[in-house]
Amino acid sequence: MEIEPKHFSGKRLLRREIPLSSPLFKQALQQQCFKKILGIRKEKGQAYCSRCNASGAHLQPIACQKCEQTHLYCRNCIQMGRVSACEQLYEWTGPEPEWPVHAAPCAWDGELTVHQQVAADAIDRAIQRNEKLLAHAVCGAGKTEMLFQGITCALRQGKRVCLATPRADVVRELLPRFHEAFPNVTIQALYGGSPDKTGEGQLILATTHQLLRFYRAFDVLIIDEIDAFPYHADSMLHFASDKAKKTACASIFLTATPRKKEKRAIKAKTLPYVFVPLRFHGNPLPVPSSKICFGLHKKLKQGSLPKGLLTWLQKRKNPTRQVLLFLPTVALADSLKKDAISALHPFAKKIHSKNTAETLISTVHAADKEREEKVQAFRNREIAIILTTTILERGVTFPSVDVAILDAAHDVFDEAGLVQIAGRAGRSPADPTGEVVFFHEGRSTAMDQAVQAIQYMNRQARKL
Amino acid sequence: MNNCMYCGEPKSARPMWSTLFWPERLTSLCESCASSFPLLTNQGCPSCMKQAGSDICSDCLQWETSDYQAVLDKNVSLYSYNYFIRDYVAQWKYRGDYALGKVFEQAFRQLFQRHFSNQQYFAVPIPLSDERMQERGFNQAAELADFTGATQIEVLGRKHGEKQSKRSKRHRMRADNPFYLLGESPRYTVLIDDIYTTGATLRHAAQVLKENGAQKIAACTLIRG
Ligand SMILES: [Zn+2]
Ligand SMILES: [Zn+2]
Ligand SMILES: [Zn+2]
Repeated sequence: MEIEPKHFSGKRLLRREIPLSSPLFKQALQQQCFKKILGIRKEKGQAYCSRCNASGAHLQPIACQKCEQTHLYCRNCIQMGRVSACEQLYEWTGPEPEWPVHAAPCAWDGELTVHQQVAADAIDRAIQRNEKLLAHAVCGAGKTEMLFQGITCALRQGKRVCLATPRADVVRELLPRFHEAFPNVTIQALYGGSPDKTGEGQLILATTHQLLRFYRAFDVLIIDEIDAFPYHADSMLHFASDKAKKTACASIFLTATPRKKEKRAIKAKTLPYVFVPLRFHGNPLPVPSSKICFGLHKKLKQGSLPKGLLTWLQKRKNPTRQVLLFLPTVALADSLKKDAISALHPFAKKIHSKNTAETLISTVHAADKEREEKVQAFRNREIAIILTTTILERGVTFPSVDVAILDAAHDVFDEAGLVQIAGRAGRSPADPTGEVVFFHEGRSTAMDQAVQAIQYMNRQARKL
Repeated sequence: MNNCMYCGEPKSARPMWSTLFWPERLTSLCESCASSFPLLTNQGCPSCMKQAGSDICSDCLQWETSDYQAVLDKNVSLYSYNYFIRDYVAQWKYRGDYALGKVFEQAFRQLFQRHFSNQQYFAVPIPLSDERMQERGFNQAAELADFTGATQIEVLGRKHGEKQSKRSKRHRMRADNPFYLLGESPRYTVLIDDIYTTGATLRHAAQVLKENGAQKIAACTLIRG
């Protein structure tokens, strides 16, 4: 049997991830198709995981009965299969796979706005020259479409492309769009629990975590929402993305809300940069308004909703828009009393009069087993009001919503998060505006910064 | 470590009230995770701790009229079953996250000592098949047996078969006994496993020991499923 390089190239794998029989694997080793790497390596007395580079407390001892010794294993990347000190990782050193050259891979025939086109050209150029680029595009600028031109160009040259994004929801949302845009290209989606795990597509859509599976695999690496990563996750992301890139590789970073680090790099001109301040439908970003609610914290603690929220719901300009209601914690969402929820019923009925009010209101959070279904039901307008934690702050789009944030001054809502949340409103050309309200009991700096950032982007857009 | 070793969230810097009462309790976890283990506070069925009334439960009555009559004296467990512990144990034993077992050390030892303080008892972990052991590298039952403080002996072997959890209950009862004897059976035995679900696995193991000279056999398990 032939051993297909596409299955293994560009990866570091555990033996159990290599579906070859023992004799066949032995033969592959003899032919030097794989190089062995220690699962846990030591450098200057410090131990590191050879897959994710974790060290310190991430590595814990196991009394291993395979080798009958106590040695370290990595807890940090254990979701992808345990890396142990007594095991090897295998890196493909056989022949390089040939990726198909596509003459005209792109079937998308939509039109870009002038500003999208500027960004698309810049991305295309960076991909051709294996350069870095930061594309700053406001929420709703249509960044996925801006990527198609550059990706097309890469596929014409038989290159391998990866788009990594922090959230599995986004990977799932992107897959059908990419299938439609590139119908003859092998595309795979990788995320925790994805049906496909082999990672042998020419175009890979993956959660950032899944990058750890790859080693010198890609000619083009696009990292979506680089600001979504909390500071402590940064080094792991850098390690993973550096490892997944070929030596010559284009890196495209996408963000709607650059953090300090990126802003500094832009100012110092150390990172080439393109800015799309206008949404694709040409309307400005909704600017959040603030409503102070005295006794807000007390009310929430008691499991009830502030009056201000109900008043706002009453007075909304368009009472048929669905409502995204953000709460700072899951515990708070769970502790809301029945009569607090039933106070929302009349407003839910106005949004969607057919269903019973109870089924029109739903709560969703990160560990929610039905999260995917609920998000889909909200998109289908089967749910009128959805109470959510920050998990719906970015990536997912709904055509026509108003957004309310309860206790907007809470620590979990940082500037980038608030800008993202506000960016959920007014996404569709059919309903390009929307209301965004911060309910608070004393403003936070993050709230002020978020409003300023949005106003700044709108000013930039007007100058165009 | 300042982060919870299970959920990764930062642990509160303040000592939590529960650590004042049980200083040994689950300190590598955050308060939210630590308090999510469903501690069994009632005895329930006096012979298996099933949480349905305080009489001998119908499952146990049925066992005592079967071929497995009197092979297992009783079972004691620490926790009942919920989604949290299900996921936690899955991460521990199927993902092979060995360190997660450590949080049970103190409480499991106390459970064992409370019921089996007699020095004559030996701890016998329910074994994995060789194939399973090759896959996982450790046996969670043996990790628990280490915690008991009793002398641990491995006198049982296990044939490799399909994954048990995929079989129906009835199928499990009828299935061939996968266990075989490796050495001499101790006279007083406490079988150690992570979960007592139908009791079939433990009775299979107990039967092999009973037929080979064991006099008293009980079970000490982490979870009463
Ligand atoms: Zn690792
Ligand atoms: Zn080992
Ligand atoms: Zn019982």
